[in-house]
Amino acid sequence: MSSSVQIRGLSKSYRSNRVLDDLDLRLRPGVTGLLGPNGAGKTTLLRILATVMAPDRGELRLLDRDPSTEADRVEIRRRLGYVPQEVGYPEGFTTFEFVDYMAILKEISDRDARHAEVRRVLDIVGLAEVRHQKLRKLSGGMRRRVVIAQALLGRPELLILDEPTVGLDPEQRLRFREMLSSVHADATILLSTHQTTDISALCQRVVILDAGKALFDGSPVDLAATAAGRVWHATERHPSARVAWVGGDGRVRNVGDAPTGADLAEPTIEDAYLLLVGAGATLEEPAA
Amino acid sequence: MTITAAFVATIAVVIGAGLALRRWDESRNLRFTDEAGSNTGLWALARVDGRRMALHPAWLITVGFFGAITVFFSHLDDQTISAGVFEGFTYVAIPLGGLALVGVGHRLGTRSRRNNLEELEAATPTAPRTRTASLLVACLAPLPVAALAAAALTVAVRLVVPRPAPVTASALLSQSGFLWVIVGGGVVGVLLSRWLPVAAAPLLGIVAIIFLNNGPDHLHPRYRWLRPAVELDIGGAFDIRPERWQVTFVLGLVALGACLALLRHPLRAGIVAATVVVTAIVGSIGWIMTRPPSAAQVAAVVDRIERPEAHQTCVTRTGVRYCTYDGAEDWVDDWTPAIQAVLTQVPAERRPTDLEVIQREPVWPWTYLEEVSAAIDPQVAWADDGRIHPSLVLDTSRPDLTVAWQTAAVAVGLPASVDWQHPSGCMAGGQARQVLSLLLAARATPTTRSALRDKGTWIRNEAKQLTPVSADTAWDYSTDTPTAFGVTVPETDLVAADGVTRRDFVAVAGASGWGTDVLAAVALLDVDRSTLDTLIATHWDKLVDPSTTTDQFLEWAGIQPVGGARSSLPPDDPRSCS
Repeated sequence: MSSSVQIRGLSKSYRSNRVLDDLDLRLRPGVTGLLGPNGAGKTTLLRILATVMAPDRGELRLLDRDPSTEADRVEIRRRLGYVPQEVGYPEGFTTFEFVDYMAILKEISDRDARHAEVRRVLDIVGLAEVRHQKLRKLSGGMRRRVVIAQALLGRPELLILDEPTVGLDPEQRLRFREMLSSVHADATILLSTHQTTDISALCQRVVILDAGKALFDGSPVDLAATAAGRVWHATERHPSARVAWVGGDGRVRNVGDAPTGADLAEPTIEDAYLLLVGAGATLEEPAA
Repeated sequence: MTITAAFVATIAVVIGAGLALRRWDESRNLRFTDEAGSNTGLWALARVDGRRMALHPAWLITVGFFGAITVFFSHLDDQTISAGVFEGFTYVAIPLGGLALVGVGHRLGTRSRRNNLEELEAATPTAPRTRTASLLVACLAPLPVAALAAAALTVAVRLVVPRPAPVTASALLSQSGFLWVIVGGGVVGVLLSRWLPVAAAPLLGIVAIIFLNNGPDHLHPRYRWLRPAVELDIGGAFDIRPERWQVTFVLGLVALGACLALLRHPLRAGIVAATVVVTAIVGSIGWIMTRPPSAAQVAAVVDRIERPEAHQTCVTRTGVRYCTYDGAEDWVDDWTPAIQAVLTQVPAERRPTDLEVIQREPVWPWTYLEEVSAAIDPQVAWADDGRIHPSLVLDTSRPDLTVAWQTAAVAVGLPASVDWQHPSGCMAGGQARQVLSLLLAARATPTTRSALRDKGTWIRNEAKQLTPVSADTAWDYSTDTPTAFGVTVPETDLVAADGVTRRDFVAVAGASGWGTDVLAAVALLDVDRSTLDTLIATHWDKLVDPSTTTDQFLEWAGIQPVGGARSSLPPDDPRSCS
């Protein structure tokens, strides 16, 4: 199967701050999770893949096209869905009007076809009932779903999602997983999130980015396996643990270099992430 | 040509400030400035934004409110709506609506920036240039709303004004320049949103537009045509510049604004070429409109002013000859009963015969081109010919006023209208015939009766009893008239007879009286009509004698003198009506 996204030697700097550093990556159809601490370069990478930002150096092919050329860039955008990390909402628009507006920008010109497509994506995100409500009257989670809905317009082959579940309550996150599953199987989806549970539940593959470099690229199972033998339970925090916390059963879960004879626990991708990103790194608190 | 310099300077400031702002902004903020994309969504986007622009509350409220105000005050004050049924609407509501659309266009143009949508929109295949172009197309959307409002106003005005001007193709063309101001307002808003996407920009834009429209040269007979919104009745029927040039000029300005908005995006040959062409068109039309008139054009205008009858339609009714310019023929229907109502009060043997009513250009000299002013012989144009001269600027709500005052003046032996020899009229204050002329006119129609009473109220309220007062019901003849023709007029002609008060406007009828004469006429209105008819019939010769005083008239009518009245000027005083 050919790669939808091919990145080789990609670099990007903001003034003297190098955000992406000679990054290599290939993405195929399926859901790929992108993990990394703040400032790791995730959003910059996604912006480059969404063609809204150009890299300083490196080779990039998206959907078998070269985004450095204007014609290819436009063609990529025709087949792209994008949820930026931060996005506002135009005042005075209803849910339907906003998604319809985005559908026009995505070149769905035929009015009837466009309206049908808008209704389809609003159904997918569960907002059909509020399609005539003004955006300002929707909750934060519902607004986030509106942005997800617009990304699904035109059945994109490449879906770039930058923290799409921020602001969603647990039920909405589950619905998001269901929704993402409904996207056709040939689509390549890159999902940046701090929710490791989303990664476990959705992604066939996970990439951990730190300081502009890919520290890990593999399946979630493989990621978790990197922490095998380095997670153990004890009655107290062990000096060799990088991170330790009291679990629900009252025992302390230590992550680090396990001492001999330790009561080893089944590692999770969260454990592996902690070990990969380093002692100084911490996981962000999941957004409410 | 300072207005041209102001235009160029304004555009330079917008572009210069826009470039500086962009550099500053992009050095501090992440902007998504990729211009790649298609124009597929142009018309669909234009429909979306057009609907928002046409139905934006700021625009609708402005047009609706000021349109309603126009009708309301037309009704309340019985004000003049002379040039056409759209006049009040197009002069007030439309320009203000256009200014509101500056703000609307700017808000729609900065929507992505204000709402943090730029990144999302940058990931779509539609080019930023297309979004600008669609907004510019959307600026046409308020036009149908304005047309609907104009239609509604037409109906309303026709209910208020007895004889509104007919809606002709020419009138529509003249007014269409104002309609393009609506489009222009939106285009300026979009232009500013592209070059100056800051909240203060529309306000500054509105100030700039007001300055350009009402600042340098805005009343200049020639350069005023370079304004976006020109009052077409300033030059009236004697404007040499056809209105269609100005309409095209405004269209050119709108197109130029659109081109400048599109130039904010990376240069493309088509836009640059369009900008060059539009600039050339605007410049050419500006030159055409402001170039000196040809000798033939000047001669034609001067002939229309000096020899009105040669260009008029004349009819005779009940022994009175009426001559009117094209489009004013219907006025004869209103003048005839008023004139006959005055004449029937005059004893048959004293009734003036061969009365002629000739429409004559009002003397608003500042509206003429210099070349026309220089060519006019005012002795001919405003000759002392003893005829009645309603002007071209008629009070459509009170069409009988002017001819009633002037006919009454002729009947009592006073000059019908002011003339070049007496540009500020003559003084008949304290003379019974001045009171009689006011009385005859006031008794002619309900409108004239009401007008005289209003005048009396004004004199009492303003304490104008000892002030020269004319029967000025329309501002036809200005005291500035003589000097505008390069003539030095003796101070005695410009300064009122009391030697102190200078009248801003002199009489429609050729004579003025004291304020007390008006009050005397008002008092006589309350005398029994048959008693007054008898008095006028029996004392006619004495009443029209210049030596008979106002007080004597009142005494014969059996009412007390008004009190404190000034006596008439000596017959040999040059200001006195001979």
